[in-house]
Amino acid sequence: MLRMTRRTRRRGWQSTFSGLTGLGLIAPFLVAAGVFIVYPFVELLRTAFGEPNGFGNVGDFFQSPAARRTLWTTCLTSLIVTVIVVAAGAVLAWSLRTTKSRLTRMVIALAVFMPLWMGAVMKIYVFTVLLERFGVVNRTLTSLGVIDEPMQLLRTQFAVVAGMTYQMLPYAVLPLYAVYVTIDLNLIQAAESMGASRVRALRDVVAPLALPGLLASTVIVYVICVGYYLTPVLLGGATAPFTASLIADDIFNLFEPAQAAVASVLLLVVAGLVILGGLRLVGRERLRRALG
Amino acid sequence: MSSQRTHASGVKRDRRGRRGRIAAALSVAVAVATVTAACGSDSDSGGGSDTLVIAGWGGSFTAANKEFFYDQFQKDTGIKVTIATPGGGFAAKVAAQRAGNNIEWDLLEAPGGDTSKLVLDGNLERFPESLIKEITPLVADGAIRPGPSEPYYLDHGGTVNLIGCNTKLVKKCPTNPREFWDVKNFPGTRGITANNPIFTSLFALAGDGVQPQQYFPVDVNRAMTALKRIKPNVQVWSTSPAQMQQAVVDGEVAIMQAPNTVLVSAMKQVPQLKLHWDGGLLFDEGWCVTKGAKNKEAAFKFIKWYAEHREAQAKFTEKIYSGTGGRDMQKYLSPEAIENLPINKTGVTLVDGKAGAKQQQELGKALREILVG
Repeated sequence: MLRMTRRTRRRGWQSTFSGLTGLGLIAPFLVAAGVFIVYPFVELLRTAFGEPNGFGNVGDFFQSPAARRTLWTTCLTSLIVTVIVVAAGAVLAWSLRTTKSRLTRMVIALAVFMPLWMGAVMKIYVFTVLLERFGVVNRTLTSLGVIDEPMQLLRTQFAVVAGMTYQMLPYAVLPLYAVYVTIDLNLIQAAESMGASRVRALRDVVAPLALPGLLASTVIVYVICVGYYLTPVLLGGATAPFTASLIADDIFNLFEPAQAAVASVLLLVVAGLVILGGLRLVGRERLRRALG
Repeated sequence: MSSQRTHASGVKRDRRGRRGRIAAALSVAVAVATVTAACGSDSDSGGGSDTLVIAGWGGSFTAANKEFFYDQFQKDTGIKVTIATPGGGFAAKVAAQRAGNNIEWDLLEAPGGDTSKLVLDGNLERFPESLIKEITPLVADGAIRPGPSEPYYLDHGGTVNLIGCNTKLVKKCPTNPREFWDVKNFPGTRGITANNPIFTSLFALAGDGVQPQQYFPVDVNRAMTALKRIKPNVQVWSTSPAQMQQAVVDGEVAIMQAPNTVLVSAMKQVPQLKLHWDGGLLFDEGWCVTKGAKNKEAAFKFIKWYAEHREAQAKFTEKIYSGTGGRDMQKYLSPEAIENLPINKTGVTLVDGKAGAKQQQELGKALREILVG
């Protein structure tokens, strides 16, 4: 009887799984991670540092002024977009958090989340219609007498920044809003009752509490931006591509897989450094608390 | 009774334990199945001859092909036609697909300057003898190309890159490449087609005064210097025909070098557009079947169907003034269409595709440095 009880206890519900069951349940993830992350990454490194010149492939990449300029354009444009998006996102998310008007909240939410519901090509096409030579912006400015001749807006860095900003806004607003809702609004009133101005209350009370959200938004936006492909191609044109376009060109036009792989590794390095920088700024303690 | 209950619950628990193991085993099976499905397998390769994937240029050329060939072929044979529009760079893309052992396209829709490169790289299927026998009476002499010993493509397209000028936007139009390069005497926003480095480089050489008989081997430095000179005046370097068509229709460019199919199509919306054929570059191109294509039988079936439908070929030519490979096409075409066929225009040069293919990669790299660097 005792043996039976022990046996049934072993076979009954247990709060912890046996090692084998745990391994079985985690197997899909392990297999997927192995096939879709580890294997491609190893292949990428093998191609980048393989034929024709091994580690010299990196040197070959930097010998090309076009490749250098493209990498610089990618990093700089992504930085500009990140600064604009995070600044605008911080204000929008704060408005969303603090407004008492249901209409205002709905309008902001709709404006922010609309880009998430539209396809990338449609979003870009909207900007093409707005920015083309005889498009909405040029026609409006001409009819108002602000400009005499239509300006070149499409196929410029301005067009790329505008298009990317619009698309990236939700990625900044969402994490910031998630942080803002955890901030007790009474803290601002408390600060003001102690003599702080509204600006000072926001700077000294809200900003430190929102810092992890701000950094998370910055990192997310920047890392996504450096990988952009369609928007720079369609709004920026052939003379100011992003590194992703260079990679496509290396694979599909020049058939230079090693150079494409080197460019991909460099993008990963840039993204990795930004993530590490973000983690460092957030601090180990805050991160541990956030992860529970 | 009690022992019976204990036995029953023991059986239940035993089942639960077994279920746990089964769940774990199923998880592994699902994972393996997912990965296998994602990686693809021979049995699920989309093979068979009920599908045909055609890679084309997009824009008016593909639209006309669809209207007169693809839709009717699909109706007649029941083979589902899927169109991909990479817009250029066919040779490198096919090479990449072959290197990755994943041939996505069965038939290539007249891949312009890339046709010879595809032949040179061994990336096309040779036409079967039976197909050659069947279509020879239906197609023009020499339409199976590049020659009788190398039957790799059937003449179709024959697109010319030439100069277009929107007289609504500029008063004085350049009529040849040299005048196109003369930005002082022929002011106006410019657009150049840059989806094939051979087209672009030869146009630059012509703009710099090089005669067609001296195009090859391409003087890369001279071509790139000429492109660098004109770069500040070029608003659009189009990487696909559709992109140039949009720039022309929107009035973004007043003077442009573009495929005749694009310009003829744009003329419907911009009637002030004038074409200048002097210095035009004609590429030898046609229907090609990708080496190792999953549906190569369907692709060859299409080529046979195309050869058999000369009325459809005539309608295609009447619409976009682009050539086809049919025999005695003058019987089917209007005098106006015959006059407007690129091959019949004076000042148009038939480009040596093989010579171009040998320098394609070198020119591609150099062009990128000029555009981006």
